[in-house]
Amino acid sequence: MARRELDEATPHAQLFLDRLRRAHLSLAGVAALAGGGLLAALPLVALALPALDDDAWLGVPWPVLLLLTPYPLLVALAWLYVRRADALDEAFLALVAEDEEPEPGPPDAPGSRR
Amino acid sequence: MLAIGAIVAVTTGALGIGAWGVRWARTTSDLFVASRAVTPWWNAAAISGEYLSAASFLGVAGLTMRSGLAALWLPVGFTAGYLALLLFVAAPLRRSGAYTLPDFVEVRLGDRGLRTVASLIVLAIGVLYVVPQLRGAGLVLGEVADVPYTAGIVLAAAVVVGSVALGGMRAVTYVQAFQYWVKIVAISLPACLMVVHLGGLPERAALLGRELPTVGDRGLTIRLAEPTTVVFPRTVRVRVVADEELRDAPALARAVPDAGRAREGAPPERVGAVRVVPAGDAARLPAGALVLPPRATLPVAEGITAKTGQEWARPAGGEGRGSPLFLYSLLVATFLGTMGLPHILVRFYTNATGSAARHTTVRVLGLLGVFYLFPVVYGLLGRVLVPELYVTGQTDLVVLRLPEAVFDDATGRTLVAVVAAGAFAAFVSTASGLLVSTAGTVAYDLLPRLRRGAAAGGRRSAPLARGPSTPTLDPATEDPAALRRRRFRVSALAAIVVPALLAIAARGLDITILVSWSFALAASTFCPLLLLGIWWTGLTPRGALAGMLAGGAVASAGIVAALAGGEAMEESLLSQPAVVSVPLAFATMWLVSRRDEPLPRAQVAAAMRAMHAPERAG
Repeated sequence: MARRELDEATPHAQLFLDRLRRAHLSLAGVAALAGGGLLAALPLVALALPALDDDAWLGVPWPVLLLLTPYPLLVALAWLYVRRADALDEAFLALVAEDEEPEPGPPDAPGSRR
Repeated sequence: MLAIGAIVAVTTGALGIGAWGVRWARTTSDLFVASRAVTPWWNAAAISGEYLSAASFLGVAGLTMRSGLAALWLPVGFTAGYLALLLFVAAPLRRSGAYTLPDFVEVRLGDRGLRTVASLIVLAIGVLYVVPQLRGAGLVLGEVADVPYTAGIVLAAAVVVGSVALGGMRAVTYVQAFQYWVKIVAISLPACLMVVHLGGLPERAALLGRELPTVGDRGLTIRLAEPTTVVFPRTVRVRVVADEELRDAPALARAVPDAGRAREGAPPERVGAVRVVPAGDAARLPAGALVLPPRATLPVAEGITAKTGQEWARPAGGEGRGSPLFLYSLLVATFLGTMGLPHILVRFYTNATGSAARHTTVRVLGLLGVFYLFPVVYGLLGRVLVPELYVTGQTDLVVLRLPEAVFDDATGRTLVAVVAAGAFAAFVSTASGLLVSTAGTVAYDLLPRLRRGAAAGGRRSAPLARGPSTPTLDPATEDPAALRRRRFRVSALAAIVVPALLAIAARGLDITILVSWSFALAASTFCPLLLLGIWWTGLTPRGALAGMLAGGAVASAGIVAALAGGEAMEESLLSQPAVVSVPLAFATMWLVSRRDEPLPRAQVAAAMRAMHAPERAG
């Protein structure tokens, strides 16, 4: 598939783009399930654990620890997602570039950036 | 004095960066759209700086002290909202070239009328969000500098308008990034010093055990500026004395328990009387100084529930804020509402590419996570060290009061100055970000349009080739950039006056409910619009309109009902309606679009291509 086709929105190019959009949507869906599941599960964990008089880890009470756990997990999840999402974009760009080989000049001249 | 100095230093620092930035922000497109040269780290700090508002800096700690650790779900949701934004919105929105939500509506659906509706919702969210910022600024100035509330609000509004009118977007990016670092230092440094000084958490029994908030071993004298209604959870002997008698406060406190004249049953109605108030009684205390004996259980202001350490430390369960339905509704509103906040979305336009927008968002998640480690420290320490705030009901001030309760020397005063400067930075940065959005909306979407070139020229430096109104600048006319700038500045002035008046009127209102309202509104209107618009080809203008109106109406009706119901309703589901209104908005949008005539296939395909094709593919 050539970049020209993409620009002219041929049915062929449309198909590849639809495929890219679906791939992104399912990746985002999986990540959203993981993140949303984490958020939905934490209150249940908090409800299930009994009230403890004074239980602490290094002086920090467990409810505080429980409510601070989401932050590193969210960052880790986001980081994994971004790696995969960038890989999807790169694969798509490689597909576009494949047909471009004979043409001289870099495909990503600054002027073509949006 | 120290606190005023710190606030002035931070504010001039921000204005200085704004003025310095404005020198290279003179070209047509730069006043509104910062150049794309801003890196993900700068952008992430700017987004975090703009996002961390009064609700985060003062509100989270205050709410934790007031309602218990269940309040900590709020910052979890505030942060998690960026995950949803990252997964579904960041890259496609950036690639669409849309700068604001109304722009997105026009790019995706090509409908002018709907654009106006979206503008009105932007305005509503913006005003609802600015009011608590200004109110918080008024409180802080009153607390640290004895500035009258109204004067404080006028002052804060002036600073905000100044910083917005002086610098364009580009300048604002650096100002906001600077404000993030001010805030993180201002909240973390005192928190760490206090914990180290105390050697951990004090009074664990009161924090986590069976005790209600109590007076310390030396008794407590609390100044009541105005008559206050309080509830006594336990039987206590109290005395209210005139302010002048306060000179020998410790002696007074010792004297109270032995006062034989005390009569059972009658709460003190006049100054000077000593009374034994039985458990469960409410009393209206006169203004003056309330003297409580050592180890007494504190009375609490109306609207606060006295909780034992165990109840207070439970993150979920029970009534009110910890009830599962309230909690899930709050998580839904914040998780899905963040993507609909106008002042945040604008920032994504300053990313170079869609991929850079993603990288920025990951950094935002990290920066916010670091910040939210600290408010909880103030909530925990506040419960045992400044319990008098339960009596006056001013738990929002815990961050400002705590340092002096821990250090009774110059260190305390210095740290109060530090947190005051941080709190002020929080109001100014969030309010100015919102003002850029609301003023832009007033200037370009709601006021009658200027000639095309003047109205929209340069707003998008690279508008979609097939965008509905590609503007062309006409060099023969009067300088459109100057016209635009003037119009924007006038709109900015107008857009701050309305929330300032509301803030003056809303003095007694809870700082968090208006923020909940704007999140619920954003989650019930713009979230379905963005998610369906970006990922579903079948969305139609009529479906989008119906969904936004249904979601927005239900969310607002719930919150208006909660506000009308007063403090009793503050923690009821009505004040957190997202769990109902968001699914309703999605369903309406989908059903109406399905029954409507679809948009032309080519138009949808072009919009989808713009949003989803990676940059280098043209």
